[in-house]
Amino acid sequence: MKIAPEFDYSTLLASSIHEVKNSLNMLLNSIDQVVTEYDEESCPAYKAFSQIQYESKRVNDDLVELLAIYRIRNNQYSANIDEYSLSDFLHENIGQHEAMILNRKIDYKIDCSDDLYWFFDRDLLTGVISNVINNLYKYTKDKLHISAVRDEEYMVIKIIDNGPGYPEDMLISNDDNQKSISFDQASTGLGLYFSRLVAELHKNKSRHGFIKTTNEGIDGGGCFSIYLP
Amino acid sequence: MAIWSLKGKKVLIIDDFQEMRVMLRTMVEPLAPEMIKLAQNGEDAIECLENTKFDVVFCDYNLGKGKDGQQVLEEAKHRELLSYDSIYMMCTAENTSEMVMGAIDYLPDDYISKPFNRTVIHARLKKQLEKKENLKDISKAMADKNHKKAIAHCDKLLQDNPPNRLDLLKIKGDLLTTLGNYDVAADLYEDIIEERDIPWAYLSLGKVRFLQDDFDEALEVFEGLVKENSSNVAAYDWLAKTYEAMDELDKAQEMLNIGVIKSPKSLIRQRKLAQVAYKNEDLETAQSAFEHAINVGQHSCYKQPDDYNGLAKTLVDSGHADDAFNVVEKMAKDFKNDSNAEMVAAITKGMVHTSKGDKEAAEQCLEGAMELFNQNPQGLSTDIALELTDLCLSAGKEEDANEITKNLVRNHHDDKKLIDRTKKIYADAGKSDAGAALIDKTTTEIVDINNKGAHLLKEGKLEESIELFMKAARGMPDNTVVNLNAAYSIMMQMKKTGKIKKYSSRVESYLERVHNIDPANKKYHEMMEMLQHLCAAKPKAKAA
Repeated sequence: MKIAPEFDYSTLLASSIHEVKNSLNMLLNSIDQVVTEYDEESCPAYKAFSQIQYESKRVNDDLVELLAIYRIRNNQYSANIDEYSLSDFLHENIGQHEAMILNRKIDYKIDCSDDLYWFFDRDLLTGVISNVINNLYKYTKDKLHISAVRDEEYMVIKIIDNGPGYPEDMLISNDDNQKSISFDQASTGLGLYFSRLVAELHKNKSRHGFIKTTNEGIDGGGCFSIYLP
Repeated sequence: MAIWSLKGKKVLIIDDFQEMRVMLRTMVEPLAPEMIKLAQNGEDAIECLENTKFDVVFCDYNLGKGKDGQQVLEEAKHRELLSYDSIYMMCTAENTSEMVMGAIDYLPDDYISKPFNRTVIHARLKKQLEKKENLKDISKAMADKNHKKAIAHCDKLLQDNPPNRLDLLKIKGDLLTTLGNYDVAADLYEDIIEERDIPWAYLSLGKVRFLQDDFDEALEVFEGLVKENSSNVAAYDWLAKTYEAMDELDKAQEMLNIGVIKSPKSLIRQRKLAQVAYKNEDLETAQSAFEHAINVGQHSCYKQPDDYNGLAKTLVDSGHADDAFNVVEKMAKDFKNDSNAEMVAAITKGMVHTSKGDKEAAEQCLEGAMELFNQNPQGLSTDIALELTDLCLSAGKEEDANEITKNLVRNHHDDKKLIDRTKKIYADAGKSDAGAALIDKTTTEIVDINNKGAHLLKEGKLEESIELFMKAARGMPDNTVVNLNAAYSIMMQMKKTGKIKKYSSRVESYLERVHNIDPANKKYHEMMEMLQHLCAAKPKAKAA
């Protein structure tokens, strides 16, 4: 077999991810069904199912992130920024995690005014939030609060929990946002790197978006904020 | 439990995966629609849409071989298979930004990224239903082509400073632009931009500047957009359009090249690049772009035989006449039972034979083409009609050439560029005088008809004037002036009789023609308004 000299990695990546995501989509929906319809008593394998559900959601979100990062870095991503209702957006994001939240008996709260509208790329921000929530499952005791408010020239989405909080090397302050974004496995991890890229892609009147991580959550739990101009 | 529902609504689900179709159906079923139909590819979907008016369509973007989700949407809207209040949801396993970039004419109401669950589908549907309800009056007025009324409805909703204020302003800006109220539209966009950097507001402002023939200003706006975001393909398209209008074809091609690299799936963009490159005598680019246009257009409602003709011409010019014959063969295969395509194929084949010096074969093709032309003289685009004129002249068939030219002039006597191109063809064939005389004579005929009709109107001889213009419009259906006059004379009659359905629908069809030929025609909007005014008036009481 001859191998063509020009190799379009982007197309290969995009089309394989398309295939994989279609399968994952089916997988996720089937598991969601099992997990919602049964419980630990009626299904002995319930715990395993719930683990599969969690991991496949993560695989899906990681794939989305990888592809987005690839495109952003290659200037192939055209941010599709439009105006959306934050209340609708947050409810929809929590809705995507409904089965997991129920299953882990997490007490969640959405705090957002009905008339708050803002400008953002819905796909990208969904990726960011999904990533934070996926991590939060691992660490939170039982709480998840998500809120959106106007803060002067920005809109801030804040996600807090009552877990042990971020380790020291994952705390991102305002100063860190001044530094150029690089991927450093040791300190940030894929998720936070992606979040910073996404924040940076949101611009208005020479202002850029940024993220913050602190341990000002419930009882010293983690607090993730993304600021969008 | 849902307190709202899809009661009485018809839903179409299009996906190439059987499991996905079934899954979506299970998600939508609890909303109790009247009907749920499933389609597994674009062609099936179009057939469903032809047979039933659907209220909600879920369509996967990637449908395997054949049409993709965007092409289904384009064809459905283009052929008016979907009504203005229907909802089109594009589902996708990929990120949506690429789809938005590829789309030029029609955008779906919403994009949904996979994976999604029932909660999300329901929330999105509910949101869209509310949106349609909120914009109902505006959409209705737009569907009736009553733009002023639509603007009035926008203003009414804007009074309360609603959360969807920017949506409304966007619609209003588009309406103002369509009506040719460029100054007002530009002010509206500038106000928005002052508040916030919104790409669509810049893009729309640039369009308005372009329409105002303020090309420098337009360039500045579009350049600002690509500087801010180097992936803004729409801005590159408009940069190309502006450079083209400024006759800077090299730069136009450069912009189109960038657009095509970033978003290669658009037929219209590939076609434009091919045409510009051909004019620039960059045959290599022209060939590649025509080939792409033909490939991506395979399943599109915008596919045209002209692209095949363009490819064949490019091949002939670059010394590959034999390959050009293959293109003609492919054209015959790709357009079955299409007499216009048959005509273009005959002309193209004639052109290739002419280039090879095979006079006899060329003549045979031209005879076939002329036969088809005489059956349907309006079937050719102006470019191909000019090409046919040229071929006829070089084959010594001056009478045929004159027939085509007469038809062209009758339909486009006020298009100066086209008239000049026609004159040049005659001049190149050494028949400069004969060409000019023919064109002048035909133009005079039309001017005479218009003057005579106007005179009859003035004298109050309404019926005679109507008869004259209607006859003229039959003979020259693409002539804007004649169509406008025909519409006007009938409306004069309606002033007397009040609204009569037969009259108003005739006026509408004449105006519709004008709008299709020249969307920016100012008179069109004036007359549309006049018609709406006449239709709104109470019917006149019968004389005692």
